[in-house]
Amino acid sequence: MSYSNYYAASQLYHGSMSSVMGTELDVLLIGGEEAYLNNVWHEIQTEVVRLNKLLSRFDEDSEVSKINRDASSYAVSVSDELWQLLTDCKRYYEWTEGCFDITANDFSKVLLDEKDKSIYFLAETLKIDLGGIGKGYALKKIRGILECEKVTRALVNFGNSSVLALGTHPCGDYWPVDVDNPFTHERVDNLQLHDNTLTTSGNTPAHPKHIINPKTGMFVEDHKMVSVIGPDPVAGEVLSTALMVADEDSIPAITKKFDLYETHLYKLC
Amino acid sequence: MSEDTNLSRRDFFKELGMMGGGGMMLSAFPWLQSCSADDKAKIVKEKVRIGFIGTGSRGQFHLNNLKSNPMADVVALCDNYPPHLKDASAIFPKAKMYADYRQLLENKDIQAVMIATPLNEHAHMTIEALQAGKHVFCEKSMAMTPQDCFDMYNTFKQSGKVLFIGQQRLYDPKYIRVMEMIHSGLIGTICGIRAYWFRNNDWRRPVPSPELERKINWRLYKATSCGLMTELATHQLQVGNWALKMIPETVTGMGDIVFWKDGREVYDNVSLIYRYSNGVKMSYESIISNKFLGLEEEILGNKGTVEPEKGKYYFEDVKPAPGIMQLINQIEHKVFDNVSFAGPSWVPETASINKGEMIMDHMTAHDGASSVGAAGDGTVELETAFCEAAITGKPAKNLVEEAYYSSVLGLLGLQAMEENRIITFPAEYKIPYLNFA
Repeated sequence: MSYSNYYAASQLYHGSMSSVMGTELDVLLIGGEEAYLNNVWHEIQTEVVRLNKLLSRFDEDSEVSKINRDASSYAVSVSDELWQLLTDCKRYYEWTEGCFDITANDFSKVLLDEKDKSIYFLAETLKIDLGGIGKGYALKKIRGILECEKVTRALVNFGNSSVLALGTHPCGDYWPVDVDNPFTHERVDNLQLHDNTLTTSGNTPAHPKHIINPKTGMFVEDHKMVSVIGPDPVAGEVLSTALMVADEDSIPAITKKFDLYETHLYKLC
Repeated sequence: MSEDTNLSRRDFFKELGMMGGGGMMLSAFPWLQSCSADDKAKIVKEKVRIGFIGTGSRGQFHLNNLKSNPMADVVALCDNYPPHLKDASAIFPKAKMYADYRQLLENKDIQAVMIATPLNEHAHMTIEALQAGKHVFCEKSMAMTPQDCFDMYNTFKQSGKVLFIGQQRLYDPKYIRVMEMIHSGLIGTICGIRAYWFRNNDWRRPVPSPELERKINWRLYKATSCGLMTELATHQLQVGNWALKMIPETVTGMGDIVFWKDGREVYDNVSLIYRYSNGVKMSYESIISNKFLGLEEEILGNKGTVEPEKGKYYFEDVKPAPGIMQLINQIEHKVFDNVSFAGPSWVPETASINKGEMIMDHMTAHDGASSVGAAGDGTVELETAFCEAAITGKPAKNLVEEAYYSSVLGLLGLQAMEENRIITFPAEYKIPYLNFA
C-alpha cells in the first residue's frame, strides 16, 4: 500500500509505502514538477517491490527460497544480481571476521562457484537470509534511479535504520538527522548527512532480541546502538550489524577494513 | 494554565514557522497578515481605549484576558444587569460604568467597543457603534436574521472601521496548522465533513428571581436566541467552509426538543446536511443530553482524515514515519532544524486501530463542555489581533466574510428545520467571497 503527496510551494514530493521488507519506506524528492517526481516515485516503488520479492526468504517463489530449499542437495545457479550480492556477502564475512554472516551460523560452509555462478551448502541445515542487507541494497538501487532521473535533493528513510541523503536540506548545507535512544527517546546524537547513507543497528524495547551473534548462536541483548555513515548503504548495513556483534578487541581491525565509514557506538541505558 | 498547555503568542507563530520566514501562511490566512511586522513594531507601546458592552460570563472571560493584554485599555464597562456590571468592575475598577450602551457610544474617548451581549442585541449595537466611529469586536454569531447579518456587513464595509467577529478558531494554532495540511493536499480530496457538538447539560444559568428567567437564560428563548445553530454550529460550519474554500449552496435538517422539556423554545437536538456545489456534504449534529462524542469536525479526504478539535490526523492505509512528517513541515516553512527518525529498524504497529498522529506539539484540546470559553482556543490571539487592528485601523482581511457566511448558514439551517424543507442560499445574501464572488 502506498501514499503520496506533492507540496507545490516547496516542490516537495513525498512517497510512502508500507509492508515492504518488514517495515515502511518514506521518500522525499525535492525540485521538479509533480508529474516528473510522481514518475520517479513509481519507478522506485516498482524496484522496491521487485527487490522485496528477490530477497525474501518467506516468498516460496523467490530465488533465495529456491537456494534454501535445494542448495544442500546440489549447486544452485543464481542470477547475476544475486551472484554479485552473495560474493559481496562473502567478502563482508571475511572483513568482519565472521561477525556479519548471512547464514547466522557458519558461512564457511557455503561454497560459491565462480565458474557457473552457483551456490552449494556443505551443511544440510544451512539457510541464507539477506534481510540484513535488503534495505541497504534497496537504497543503493534507489540512489541509482535518482541519479539516472537527475534528482539531486532527496531523503530516503527505509524503516529508520537505513537512510539515504542526496544533496542537502533545501535550507541548509546538509540533512540534519537526530539519532534517539529507543529505550528513553532521548537524543543521543545529531548527525549531518550529505550525499551519503546512515545505517543504525540496535535493540529496541519492542524488539530486544533480533540480532544473532553467528559465532555463539546467541542473541545480542546489550543496550547499545551503532550508527554508520558512509558512501555504500550495503556496507553500512554490514558494518553496523558487525559492530553490534563484535567484541571490543576485534572492533579496530574490522573498522580498518571500512576506512571510508564513520562509526558511532552508543552505550544506552 | 501551565506553560505546557498554553501557547503564548510568540510560540503560536513559532510553531507555525513564521519565525523561519515561511511563505505559505501569507496567502492562505490573510487575516493573520493584516498587521505587518513593521506595523507591529510601530505600535508596540500603544494602547486602544476599549468600552466593553455585555459583561456576563463570556464578557468576563474576555475581560480577564484583556487585563493581561498590554495593548488593551478597558476604560468603560456597560451592562443593564447590575450584578454582572459589578463583577466586571472588580476586574477593571477604574473603568467608567454604564447601564445604557448608547451613552457609552457617545463617549468620544472610547476608540473601540467589544460586544458580548445576547444575540438579539448584536446587530443594532454593532451598527450603531460603527456609525459612531468606533472599531467593533462583536461576539459570534453575528445576528438573528440573514438580513441583520447583511446590514452589519454593509455597515462595516461603508464605515472604514475595523470589525471583528468572535470566530476564535480563525486564530487557533491547531486549526491554522490543520488548514495548512488540508490545503497542501495531505488528506487528498475532501469527500465529506461530519461536524458535531454534544454536551450533557441543560444550558441553564441559575436565576436569582423568576422574572429574570428570560434575561439570564436568554439562550433558551426565540426572542433572544437561535439556539444551538448560533451558539455552537457557527463555529463549526466556518471550519467546513475554511477547509473546502467554499460556501454550501443548500441545507436541510430537522430539529426538536427531545430531552430538556423545561419550557425552553429552542431545539436541544438538531441534525442537518449542508451540500456544497461539488456534491460534498457537511453533516451537522448537536445534542445536549449526551456528551459521549464531545465535539469535532471530522474532515474526510480520500487519503486521510483530520480531527482538528482533538488535534489529530490519520492516513488511510500507510503510516509515514512521524519524523518524516515533521521534516516535511519544516521544509514547507523553510525551517532548518534537526529531526528525529533515525534509529534501529522500525517495525510499524500492525494494530487494526488507527491511532493517528498529533497535528502539532504543545497543543491544547478541550472537551467543549464550557459555554464560556477554554484556554488555548484562539480567543487570546483573536483579542490581540483586534487590539492591533483597532490601533492601526486596518481590518483583518476576510475575517468578517468568514464569520458572515457561518452566521448566515447557521440561520438558514434553522429556517430549514423550522420550515421542514431544503433551503437554497438566497442570492440577495451572497457577498463577494469564495465561490459566491
